[in-house]
Amino acid sequence: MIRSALKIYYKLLEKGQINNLSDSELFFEYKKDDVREQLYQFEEELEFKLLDVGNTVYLIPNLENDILGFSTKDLRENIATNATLTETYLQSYIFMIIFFMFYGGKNTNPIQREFVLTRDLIENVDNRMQTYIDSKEGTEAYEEQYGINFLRIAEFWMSKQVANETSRKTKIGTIIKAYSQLEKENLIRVLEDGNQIRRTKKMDDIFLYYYLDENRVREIHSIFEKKVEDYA
Amino acid sequence: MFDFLEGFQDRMEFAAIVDSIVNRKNTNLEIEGWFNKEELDNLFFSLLVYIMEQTLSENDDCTMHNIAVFLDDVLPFYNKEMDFDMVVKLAEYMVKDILQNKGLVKTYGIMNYFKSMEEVRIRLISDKITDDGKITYQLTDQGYNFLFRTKEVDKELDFKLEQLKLRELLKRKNYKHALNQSKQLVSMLRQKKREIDEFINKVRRNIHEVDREEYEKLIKETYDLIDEEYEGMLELREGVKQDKFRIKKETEETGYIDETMKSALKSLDDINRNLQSVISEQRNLIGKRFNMNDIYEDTIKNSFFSSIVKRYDFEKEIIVPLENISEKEIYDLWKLMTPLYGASLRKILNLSLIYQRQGKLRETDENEESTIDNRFEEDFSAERRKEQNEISYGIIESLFRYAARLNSAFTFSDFYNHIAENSQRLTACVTEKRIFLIILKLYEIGLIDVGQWQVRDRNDVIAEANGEFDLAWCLYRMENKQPDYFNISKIYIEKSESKFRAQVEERYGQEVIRSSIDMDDFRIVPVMEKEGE
Repeated sequence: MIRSALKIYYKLLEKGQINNLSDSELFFEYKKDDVREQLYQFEEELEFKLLDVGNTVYLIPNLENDILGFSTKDLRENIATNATLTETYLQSYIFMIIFFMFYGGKNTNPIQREFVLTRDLIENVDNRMQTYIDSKEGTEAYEEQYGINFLRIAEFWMSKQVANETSRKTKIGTIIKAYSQLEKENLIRVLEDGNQIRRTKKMDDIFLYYYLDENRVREIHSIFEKKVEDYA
Repeated sequence: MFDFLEGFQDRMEFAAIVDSIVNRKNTNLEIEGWFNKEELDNLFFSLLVYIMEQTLSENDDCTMHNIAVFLDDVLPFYNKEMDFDMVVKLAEYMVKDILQNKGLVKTYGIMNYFKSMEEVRIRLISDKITDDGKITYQLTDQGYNFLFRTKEVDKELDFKLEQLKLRELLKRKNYKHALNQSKQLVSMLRQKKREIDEFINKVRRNIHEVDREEYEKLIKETYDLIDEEYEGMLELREGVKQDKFRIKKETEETGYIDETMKSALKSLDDINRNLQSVISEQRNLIGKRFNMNDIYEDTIKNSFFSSIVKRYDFEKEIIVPLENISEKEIYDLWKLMTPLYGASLRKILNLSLIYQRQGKLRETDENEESTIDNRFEEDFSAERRKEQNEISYGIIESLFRYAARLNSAFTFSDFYNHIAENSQRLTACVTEKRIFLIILKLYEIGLIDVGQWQVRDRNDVIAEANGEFDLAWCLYRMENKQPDYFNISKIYIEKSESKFRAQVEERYGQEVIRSSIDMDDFRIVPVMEKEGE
């Protein structure tokens, strides 16, 4: 029993998921009550959550789990070893806009797109950034107060070249870099030489069954409400 | 009282389809400006008919490129001459921006007088990704119904009636029309099969997009097609065979055959072939129906609880706060990605990380003009792949050159010693034991048959090898660089009695690793082209 639970845990650490086709034996074990009981204890003690979507089980680290999870440093280094916080912030924002374009539907089915064209994504980010810059007057005082804010990110984005090169200094390069991160995590598929992206089953599963769950709202608020003193 | 409005929603669905094209959204003024309004409308519907043809002929060739080629072919009818790049731009605009509505769901409010106002989804084409990552386009059921009913058949005709029509035509010996009718039946079945495939894909992609009514309708239609009509099709085919037999017998008895009889016999052959296709498509559908049923039921079961999850407003809870975040909060941004990235254990447990180059960490955005190498990981892998391909090709070219020079059998040891004459070349060839792996692979293949290679299907274009040794790619490359293949027609690779031994050195950064290779030697026998060939 403990052996099965450990095997499942190991596979989840290795692959992030088990499913009933490629890991049929483990999946069969997972369905046993006593094994599940063990895994519940692992979940509590090791700070993660198992997301069971029927045919696949995903391991999702708790937000505070910096052993299994990621850190800002990881995000930065995924861009480049000397990536700046501004770049990290911008990339996170691009990620969220991608998710919003795919899953921003207000109906029972939040999926609103089959694919996102890169040019539409850039246009979308451009529009949001420009709107923000246009309302600059009202945000300057805010910037002085906090040092870094969205205005700075918007200006940083708008200053990027429009050239069709994959350098970090261009818009397309910044987007492609973000794509490669998401593709590496098997969240999207990049097609037609980076001209469009599509959702994967993993991303659908995590968004539909967990990420967008209303019960996570408080947890999400906590991310944005973190005080600087907390890092002291 | 309002009986005459029964089915009104079906009429409106057609109106909605026409509206989606004629009053299109997402318009690109530049491209629209290339045409008069009606010209582009005509082009849109022509394109749909083209996609229908491709869908029904069951080839997976309806890519963006094929669509552009089609448009390029029909543009002269509109007196338009465009560069192919412009045509590709036009094709992408028509398909992605308009027909696929940029990937966004498109709906149209339709009144159902016996229920209520309904939002009906308008989706004329769908796409699928082939195993090699190519996107191909096909007509949806909705698109097919629209085109089918605006020309091919009357609204009320179903498969049974189509079959009846064929029977009547055969009875009247109207073979020419019967042939067209039989094609119609094949098309209907292929469309149904494609519809089932599309439905299965839809279920797999996202069960929430699937409507129970749609599933039941599909199941019912498939039942109608395959269960009731199967026997009927067998009877029809038997009838066709008998007609053919009768005509043949008549011609044998009278010794006379005219053009009409010849044409009738040909039509009967074609009808027979089409009926055979119908029968085998029906058999396939039986299997597919059960498959569809299982997948649907399983997916429904698995996703049951997700439909009761209440979801928050993504824009309100994430995008807007992100746009108003302060510097004090950005250190926690990574948490937004934590559920999506899953476990990342290696960063802590992987000892090799200690030895990796350490990046300089900066907490502030000092200088945007960074001096770092902006190449991505993919670029490095591509370069590495290219390098590996070059080495593999170099080894094969050297083998051909050496074989041509000797013009007689030699051993792998001989060839290796020849390579070792140049130390730089040797280092490249032994890196990752490449030369040894290649000779083992060649031994496994046994024979390099250049003649056979030259008569291959030219459509099998080998764009780029993936870094692994690929003989086909090497021969393809050699064809361009050395079209006569050094006058070699074949090379046999056999095991020899002797052994091969060598000491090799591989360099990893500053470190040199020495290893010894001990394996069977191989006998390499070249066969030269005969003179005059």
